[in-house]
Amino acid sequence: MNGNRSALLCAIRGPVLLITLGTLFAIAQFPVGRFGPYSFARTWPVLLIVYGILKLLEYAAARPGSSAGGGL
Amino acid sequence: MRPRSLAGPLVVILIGGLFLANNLWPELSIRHLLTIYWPFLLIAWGALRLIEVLVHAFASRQTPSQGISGGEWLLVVLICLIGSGGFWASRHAHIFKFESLPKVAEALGQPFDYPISGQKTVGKKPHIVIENLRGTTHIAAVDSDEMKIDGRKTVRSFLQSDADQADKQTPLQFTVDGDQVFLNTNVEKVTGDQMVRADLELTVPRGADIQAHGRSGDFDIAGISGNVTITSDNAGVRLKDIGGDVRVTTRKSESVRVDGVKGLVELHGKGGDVDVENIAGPVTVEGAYTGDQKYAKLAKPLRVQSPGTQLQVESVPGEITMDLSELTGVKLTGPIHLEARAKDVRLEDFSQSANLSIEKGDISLRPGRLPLAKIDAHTHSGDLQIALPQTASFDLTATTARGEIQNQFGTPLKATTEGHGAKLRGATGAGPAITLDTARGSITVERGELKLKSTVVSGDGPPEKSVTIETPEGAIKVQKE
Amino acid sequence: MNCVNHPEAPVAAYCRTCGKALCATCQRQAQGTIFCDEHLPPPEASAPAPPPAFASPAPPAPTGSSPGLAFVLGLIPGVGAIYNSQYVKGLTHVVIFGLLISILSSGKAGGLEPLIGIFLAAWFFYMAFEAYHTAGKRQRGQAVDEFSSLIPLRGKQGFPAGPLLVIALGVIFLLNTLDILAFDRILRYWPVFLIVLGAYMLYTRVAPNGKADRPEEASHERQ
Repeated sequence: MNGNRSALLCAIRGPVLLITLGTLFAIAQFPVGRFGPYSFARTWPVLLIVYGILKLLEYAAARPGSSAGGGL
Repeated sequence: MRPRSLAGPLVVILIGGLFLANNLWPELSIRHLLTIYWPFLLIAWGALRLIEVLVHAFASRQTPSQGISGGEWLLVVLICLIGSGGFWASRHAHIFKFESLPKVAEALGQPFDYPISGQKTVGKKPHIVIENLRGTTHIAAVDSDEMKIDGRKTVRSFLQSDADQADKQTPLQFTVDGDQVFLNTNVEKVTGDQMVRADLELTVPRGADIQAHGRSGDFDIAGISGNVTITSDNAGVRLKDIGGDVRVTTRKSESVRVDGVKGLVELHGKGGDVDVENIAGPVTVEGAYTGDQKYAKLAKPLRVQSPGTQLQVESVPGEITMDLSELTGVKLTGPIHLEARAKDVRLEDFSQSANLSIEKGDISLRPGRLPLAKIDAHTHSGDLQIALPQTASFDLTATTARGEIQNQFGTPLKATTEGHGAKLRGATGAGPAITLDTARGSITVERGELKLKSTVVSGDGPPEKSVTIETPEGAIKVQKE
Repeated sequence: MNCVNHPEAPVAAYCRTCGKALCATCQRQAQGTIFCDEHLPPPEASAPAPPPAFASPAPPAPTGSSPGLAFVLGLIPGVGAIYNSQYVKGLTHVVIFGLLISILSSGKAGGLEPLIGIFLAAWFFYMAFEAYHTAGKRQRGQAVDEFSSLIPLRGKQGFPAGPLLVIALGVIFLLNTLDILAFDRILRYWPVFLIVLGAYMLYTRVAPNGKADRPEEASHERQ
């Protein structure tokens, strides 16, 4: 059910952001392959993007059809 | 009843347990491991929560519980601050650019001091290499052929035994091989996560050449007649009365002060304030120095190159002060060449030619000496102001594409409006070309005053009675009645 | 199952948006279905809270929800939202405040400092006023938006302006911190933001207001 899907997305937003945060800090401490050190000070906007995407998905899940333009 | 999350309290217990284990069994270096692997703690916590939520949603087919509560986020933020602070302190890596991050690892533990000393004969002109990765280095010159080391090593640790061990792991290396002297405080050789710093007070023979390398810690050197080269990741530098060449490279610096150098001066890298005065040789500054810069009494050419500015002046008998938004120069000898992205420029009492090109900023020129030389001043967006002495000879063309022109100079300069802008043209005698140009802004041409040099000539009676003033036109003698 | 705010009260309905269990006092009706306080869409007309089916009209204000105090506390970045129990918003306010200050002091704005400075001042007062209005709404028992009490980010047509704005900001900041596209190049196009804002406002006004109800009713029927 759509209400539940959006509620689910709302609930996993926190944990997903937490995982992203941990990943960013991990990348900052362990240089990833050929890339230079990507300090947290440079990568933090990823958090904003992830938050926005999750919120967007939540909206899309709560309003099927009209703006998403799919199916029924 | 909606079940509360289990993960949060579990994480708190885990952290508590780890710290307890670290205190009880320090040899396991748990704290060290923590400072490296703490982000995985966050990832595990997040994954655990995620699984909890998904399982709850699909198992009970009900609306799932909340994500992460406010209190838990607070815990997350704390872990991030402490974790990255700990990592930073143990690795000295500049992970965070913001300076306000609390140095948590330094605050933990207490300082234990160990004295450092040494004395060796090194000859009159030794070549000294100093490696002190953390701590201040103070060098004074003496007229002797001996080098003396005095200092203090400070170890931050919880236990005296840890501190003693750290002291043993970081012995002072002081070797002399002919005229090559090598000094290393070895502060980074600590295997635990104690912080060791060494503050040195050295006296060296005056004829020495110094090459110093550090990661963090200030340098204060005076009276050396040889060359001085300093490389550091983060150092305030203060050099005074150096006989040879000076080269300073910093990745970060609060201030670099150089006063009195007989050779050349080269600054590279990034820093804050810069103060370079009384230099006999050429001065080159290359890099991003974001604070207040001051260059005064430079006998040879000055060259400053930073991401937004390029400056070249033939010599600076007066001084130039500049920061990220403005540049003021008083008493300069050209040719002066300046290219900048965004600066308000003010030059007073300069001679010889000047070529300025600014993208955004006002320019104010007051040439102080006659005869004038070629002046080219362009700004893309900003006002132009120039004060020309009435007796000067020049050929002026001033154009603004969008703005007005104020001709306070009078004839023979004539202003005409052209569309949204205006143009001012005129020449007095056969002088050099003065070209002023702005795409958006006003231009003001004033009547300037001459800088007069006055000398009191004695021999015509007591000094108070008469004064001879030299002007570019000739000498004027003033007699007191 | 009991209400999230009142553990002793039995559940009367679940919020359409987030699924929270709500008792009779907590449930809010709008557009023919039930929402919780946080997810209640802003009312079309500026009328007070829609009459709930069961509970008494306008539940008493939660203790300590003084708009005046909220305004004063709102002058301290983040504290206004914390006072209104909106912790995420508080953190967001603080972060944005800090970002504006660090842009100003980093010298990277390249001449646009006055604009950022004005924006900083505006943001400062926005935080206070936003806290004031949120506290006022709480006091009157009205819906409280989780993003902003002053700016309708939810959008009447269900247009997710909020998340898109957040994503756009994230992309812009990322481009800057990864040295792909510097701030001052992007900031040069700041009037585009005004144009987009104007277009968005046009969009929300030109389209007929009835549209907002359709998707909700459609999905309601589908169940």
